[in-house]
Amino acid sequence: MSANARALPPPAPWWLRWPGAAVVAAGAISYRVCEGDLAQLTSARARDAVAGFVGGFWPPAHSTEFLSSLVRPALETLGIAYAGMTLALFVAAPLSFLAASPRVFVTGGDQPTRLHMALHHGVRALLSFMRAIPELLWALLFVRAAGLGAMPGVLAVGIAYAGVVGKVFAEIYESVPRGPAVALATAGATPVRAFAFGVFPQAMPLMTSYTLYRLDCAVRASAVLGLVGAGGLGQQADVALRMFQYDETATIMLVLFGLVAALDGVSFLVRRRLERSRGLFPHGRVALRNRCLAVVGGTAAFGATLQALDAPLWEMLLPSSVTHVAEFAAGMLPPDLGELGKVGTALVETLAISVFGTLLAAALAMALAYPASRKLFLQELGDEAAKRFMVRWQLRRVVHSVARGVLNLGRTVPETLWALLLIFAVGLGPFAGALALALHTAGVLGRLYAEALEEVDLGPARAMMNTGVRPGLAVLAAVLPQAFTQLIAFTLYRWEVNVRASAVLGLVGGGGLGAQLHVALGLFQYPQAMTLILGLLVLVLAVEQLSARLRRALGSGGQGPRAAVAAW
Amino acid sequence: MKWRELVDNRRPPKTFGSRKRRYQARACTGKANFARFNLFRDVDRCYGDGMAGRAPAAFHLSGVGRAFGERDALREVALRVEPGERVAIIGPSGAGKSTLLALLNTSLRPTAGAISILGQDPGALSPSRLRSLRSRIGTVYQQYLLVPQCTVLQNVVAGRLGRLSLWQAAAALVRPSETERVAEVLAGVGLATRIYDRVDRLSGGEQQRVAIARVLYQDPEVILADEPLSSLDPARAADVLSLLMRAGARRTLVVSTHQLGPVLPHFPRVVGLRNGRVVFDKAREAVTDADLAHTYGGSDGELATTGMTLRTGTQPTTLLETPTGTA
Repeated sequence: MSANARALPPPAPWWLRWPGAAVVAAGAISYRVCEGDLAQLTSARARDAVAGFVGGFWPPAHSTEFLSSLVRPALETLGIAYAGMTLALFVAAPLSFLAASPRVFVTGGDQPTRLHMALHHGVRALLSFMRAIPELLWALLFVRAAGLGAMPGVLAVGIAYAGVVGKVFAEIYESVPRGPAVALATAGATPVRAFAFGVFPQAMPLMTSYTLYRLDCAVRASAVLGLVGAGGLGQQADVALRMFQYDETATIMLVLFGLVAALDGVSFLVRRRLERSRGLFPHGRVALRNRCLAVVGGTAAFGATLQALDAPLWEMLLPSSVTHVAEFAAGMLPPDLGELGKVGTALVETLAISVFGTLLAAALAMALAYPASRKLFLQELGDEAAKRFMVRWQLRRVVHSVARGVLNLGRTVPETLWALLLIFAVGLGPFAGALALALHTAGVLGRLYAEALEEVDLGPARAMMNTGVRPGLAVLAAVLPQAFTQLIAFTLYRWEVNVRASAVLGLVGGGGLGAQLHVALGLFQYPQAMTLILGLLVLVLAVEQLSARLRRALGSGGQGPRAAVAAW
Repeated sequence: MKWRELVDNRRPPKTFGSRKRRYQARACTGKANFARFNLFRDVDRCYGDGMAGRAPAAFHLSGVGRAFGERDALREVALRVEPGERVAIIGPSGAGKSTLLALLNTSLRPTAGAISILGQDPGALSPSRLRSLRSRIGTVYQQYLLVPQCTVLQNVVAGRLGRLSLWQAAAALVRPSETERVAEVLAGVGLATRIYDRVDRLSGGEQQRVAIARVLYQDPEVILADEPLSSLDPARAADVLSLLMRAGARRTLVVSTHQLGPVLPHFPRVVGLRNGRVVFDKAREAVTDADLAHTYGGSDGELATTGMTLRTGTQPTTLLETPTGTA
């Protein structure tokens, strides 16, 4: 008896005992703070805007002249993405080894050295700094420091993505089974050798597919960077929207859609090829030659891309450039602490945008994930009886396609572009930002949710359906509970991403910190801008900590690098 | 064929002294010594009569204990294993067998007592000396601990990382001469054709063989095997066991197991563990039913129900007979 009583865990804080209440409270507060007004969505103005879009978007502009004028920006977008991602890999790959917990390199009863621990913490802090500032903000800073063009775009993608990629790589190293490396170490291998032969080969498939996914993101991100003058398709979209050329905007979005889809295809092929890969080192001379050719070719393509983009990255290493950037950075110091109250308001608004956007997105994604899952909705748990009624079955297929289409659209259009569109419907301000964030995030989360739902054991749901329960209800009762912690983990990871994103939305009129930052940078008030950036840094790190705590409180089900890889 | 010549012309050192110097030289340079590499080592000539007494014990434990937090996994263990000996460690689950093996391969340090491995105290060695000591001890793990995404070749080559630099090991995957050497080892365990297959495409028994091949390629003086038969069916278990015996025939071999039937006939010396203590440490012929009953707990009647009894009536069981065919 007493042993049992002692084994009971201490009572959890209220927000864990009544998580629903906490979520509702957070939603309501953030809704108020970001000036939410869902009624606006049905207002005459919103209807006009949507009608204007729908009428204006169709047909998309397709004159040869306009299309040929898009070729260069499209290539530029691809180039910025590729060069930025390569730069990010060059920076992140070495840093990731230090960012990984030193325990990865240590076996048996040994302790990591002090130097290693110090380097580890330093690199971790550096990586969080690099990714705490969103790429659009990096681009804005580099445009100020280095001038218009593709160069700031490449640098922005490179730095911001290096921060994310380095962190995720480190988490992957930490997550793979350590047994093989320990076995090698007890056979006398040095830590580095045990890592190279015992850890790295296990991590590589996940690292590669994550890199490909990130390249995908980089294309979308670099399309947006044009909004602040960093080249690419975004500049065209901005101009077209501001001149109310909806048909041209539609074409630009379609081009972006096509680019991302093409890249998806390529990365699918690469991933399939990788499944047959056989480890870190090439086996045999032909494989060695191919591997060397791939590395040399990739690096050459990197150089050629930089050349074509007219972004001489190596000039950044010249003393004159270094002093120029250092002077620019010094101009931002010391931060202006005069208006901390204003900064605080902006931070609260940014936080509210991220919370409301994420919650709304989670609700949308939850509703769409089941119909969007082919396996659950049509195949494995499809209503067998319904197949005999053609109309009902076709209806089901239509619902599936629509759900998938909505999620794909939400995902492909970056939140910044959504914000530009929504501003016409609900006006400038944080609510437009929150809605934009929700639409994009719903697309991302919907896919992740669907994948998580498909991975659970379907046996209980089938058993339930055999007793006459409808498929939808069976999913709710027997599939959702199994995947629930995973879904919450995805949502929390996405929230971390969204805090950064919502800081950027202000740059295009979506309220929050970005709006003030835009003003400060426009007026060359660099110390004020620095204060805002530092505030953002604090907010991002605080949210990261909170999210990590919540995930830990969820237990083992909702953690792990798979969730991080999927959601980041 | 070059490798054939190497194998045929190998000249084992005549005395233990030269052998010792050889290992010291190896430890100092850390260089590969493939010319001396052989698959099933002919140690008889090294450990000739009268030599065992003068050579340091393979393992010497006195008063060794190992605690995990509050729990004592091992207590007051005293054990001396001479070079070339074959020892089976038996005992129920949780008796401390795996902990003992982890102490012997230096992946754990004792929390009490003194331990000496191949004449050296692992706790007192510098990291690089500890690594060179470790490269002389090969371990076959219960869970195999192979890298599933890598080829058999790469996993086997990795066994030698204690003596190969990263680049030598990477080169070994490309150079035909080295690949042939690995193929030779794999032929010894019956996997010659699977050298370029990914390990996760192999069956459990085949993975066990890869783990043994990795240890053979490491070419250690001592082989430790932790429950090598635990996840194999009886036929596979017999195969793997005879393979292990061949690999360990000319080396010091320590195996932990709770499958007494197939294993014990091959081991002249048996150590029983229970609750972290050594219950008995005897020649196989001297082990009695009472010893086993004591080790596995409960009475003889309980043993009989678990099928572990040694004798029926007065007849000696096959369990304790000397092996006739295999080995």
